Amino acid sequence: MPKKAKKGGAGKAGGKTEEERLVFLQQRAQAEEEMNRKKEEVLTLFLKDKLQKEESNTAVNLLKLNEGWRSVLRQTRASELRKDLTVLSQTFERQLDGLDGVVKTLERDLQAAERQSAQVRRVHLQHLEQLWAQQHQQLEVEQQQWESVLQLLTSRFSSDREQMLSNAKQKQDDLKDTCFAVEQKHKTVMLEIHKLYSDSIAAYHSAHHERLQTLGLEDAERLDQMKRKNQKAVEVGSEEDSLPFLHGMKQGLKDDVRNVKRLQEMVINLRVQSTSSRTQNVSAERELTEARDQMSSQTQVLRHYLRANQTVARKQLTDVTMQSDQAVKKLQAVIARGQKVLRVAEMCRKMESEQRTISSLIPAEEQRPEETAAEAEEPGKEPGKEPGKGRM
Amino acid sequence: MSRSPNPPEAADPRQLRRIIAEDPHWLLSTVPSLSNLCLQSIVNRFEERPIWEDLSPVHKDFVQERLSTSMPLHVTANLIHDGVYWKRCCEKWGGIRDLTHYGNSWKRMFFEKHMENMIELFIPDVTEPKTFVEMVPLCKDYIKRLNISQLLPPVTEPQKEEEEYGSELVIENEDGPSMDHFDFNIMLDKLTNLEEFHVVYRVKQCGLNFQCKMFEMTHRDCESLAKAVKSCKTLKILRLNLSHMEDTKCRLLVKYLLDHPSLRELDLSHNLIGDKGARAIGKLLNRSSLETLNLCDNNIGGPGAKALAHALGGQAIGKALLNNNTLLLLHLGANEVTWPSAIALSKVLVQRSTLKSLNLSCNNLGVDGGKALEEAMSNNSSLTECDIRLTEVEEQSASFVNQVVWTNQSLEQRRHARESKTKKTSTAVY
Repeated sequence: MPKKAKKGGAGKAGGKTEEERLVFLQQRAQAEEEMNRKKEEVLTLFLKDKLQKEESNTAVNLLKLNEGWRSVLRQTRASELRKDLTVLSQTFERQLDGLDGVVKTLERDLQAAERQSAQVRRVHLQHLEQLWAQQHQQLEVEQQQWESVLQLLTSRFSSDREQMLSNAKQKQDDLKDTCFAVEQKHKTVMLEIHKLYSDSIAAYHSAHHERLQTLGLEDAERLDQMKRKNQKAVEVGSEEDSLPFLHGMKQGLKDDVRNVKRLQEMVINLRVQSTSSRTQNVSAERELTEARDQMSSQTQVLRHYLRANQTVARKQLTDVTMQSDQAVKKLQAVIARGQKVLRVAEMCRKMESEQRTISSLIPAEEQRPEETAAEAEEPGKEPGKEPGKGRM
Repeated sequence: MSRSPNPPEAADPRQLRRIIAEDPHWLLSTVPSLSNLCLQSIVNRFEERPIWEDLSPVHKDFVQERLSTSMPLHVTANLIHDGVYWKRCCEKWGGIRDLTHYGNSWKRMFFEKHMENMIELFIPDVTEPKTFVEMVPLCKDYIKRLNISQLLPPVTEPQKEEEEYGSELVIENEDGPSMDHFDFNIMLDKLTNLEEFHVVYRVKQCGLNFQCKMFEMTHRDCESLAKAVKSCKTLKILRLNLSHMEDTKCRLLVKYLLDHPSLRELDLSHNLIGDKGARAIGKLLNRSSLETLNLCDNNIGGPGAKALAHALGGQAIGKALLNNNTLLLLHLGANEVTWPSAIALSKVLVQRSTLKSLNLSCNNLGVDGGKALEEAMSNNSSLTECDIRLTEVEEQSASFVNQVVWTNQSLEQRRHARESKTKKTSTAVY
């Protein structure tokens, strides 16, 4: 603190005049202050320059440092990168080789696949060609068959058509011929009919006159009716075309006139005869019925008699059958008994023979029971014999 | 034994024995006749003493029905004629096929099937070829067609990895199996009636044991087959399908087929024949009398088809004598024929007069090919079948070609009708 020191100094030396000292001090202070200020200004300027220089230096130094650092970094990085490069190049080469191998195998596979596909295609084509050839053959066979059948059918149809045409022609010709013949006949028949008609009308007129004369006017009506009938008959006859019928009609018309007379006489006779025959018939019928009644009564009587006889005979038959049944049964019983007896007799004989053999061994003592047995056997034999005889 | 006092009125009283007596040996069936007993004993001892020629036809039928079907073939093959016995032998296998396919002959069906079975089950180096040598003389008169649908490859044994035998293993590997598949040389030339021969180099029902080798024919196979086919002089139809036949094998086969006296139909469809093979076949067309050629589903491209067309058509008049005059059917479907070959073929169509059927379906002929064909067909009057489906020709070209084909067909029918009429009149004259 120079000011304070100065002030202290000034204060100390002051004894002079404090005012001068003060002024002196003040001037000295001011001059010091100015000098300080100037020093400060110079210092600041100097410091600013220095600062600027320092700043520029630092900038330059910084740049240099950066460059140096970067170059060092680059170098290290370059070396690292080279190492990486070599490594990577090796790996890439290896990968390339692997891929090359893969590509080659794929090529080979592709070739093989192409060959196989070509082979398959060729085989398929060959098969198709064979199938096509077969189908062609079959089609040809079918076509031949079809054509032959078609030819057959066409020939048949054409022959049929020709036949039918010829038949139709023939029939047409026949028809024409028959038409012509029929027309001719028709004309002749018509002429004949006209002739017959005129003849018959003439005959009728004559008959009519005769009738009128013979039978009188009372029968005129009947004759007119007859005429009309005859006319109708004639018309009917004229409509028909058969010649023999017309001839017959004409003759019949002529005969009718005679026949009518004859018939009338005959009618009267027949009536008389019919009445007489009727009476005769009636009487005959009565007689026949009487005879029939008699016969029926007689037959009834005879039937009664027959029936009675039949019943009697039936009764007798039933009695006889019953009796015969009973007899048969009896006889069968008897036969059975007889057979039993015969068996017993046989047994007895056997036993006798045995006893005899035994008795020959053991005589005397058992003769008596033998005799009794023999006696018992004998009556047994006898009834056995009798029914046998009775049966015989 | 007691019988009824009055036997009933019947033709054969032995058939009406009614009273069953107390005889324990009495049977309900009638006593067989002596001739039947003799025939039964003949049947039982047929192997030791085959009596056949002396029997009457009725007795032959009796024996045929009862003879055991497992009788060895060397006894029965040449002795028993076609009939019920062979039918029973065929029925033993089950699944009777269509008999008309075998010319209505049970004997032929039996022998063909038997031979096919033997060949199909032949394993090289395991089965003895002696059986074939014995069989062939017995059946050579009856086999007309052989349809072999599988051929077994040799059995590969797993190799033991033992160091002591390492050298020996190497030697074994060098030898290999003596043949890759059945060698037809031993029998085809002896089958004197063989007319058709189909063969497919594959294995049926292999399941999980699939290997690509089972479906290929190898070079050796091709060579042996070609030699065998050449030696069979009566062969008319040869079909070799699905066997992975490439150009080299095709050329090898063609080399042996040149100038074959009787081959009429060649079917190499479903193989892998390319252009070189097609060229070889073109050469074959010129030097044999083929009528039908089927090459569908191969890899024949433009040059191959051109070669075939040249073989069919020819260029200058001087070469006309070398041209093929007998081919009736050409099937090139499912190949890679394109429009230049279509143009070449159309030139053929203009000149040719014997080709009746042409099949170019499933090729990429394109619009140009279609137009070339259209132009060619307008001058052609003999082609009655032309199949150009899925060839990407225009609708117009396809319809035009079809129209021409239809008119050709109707012309053909008319020609047939005329020919039949002239034949009838000529026979009527005689």
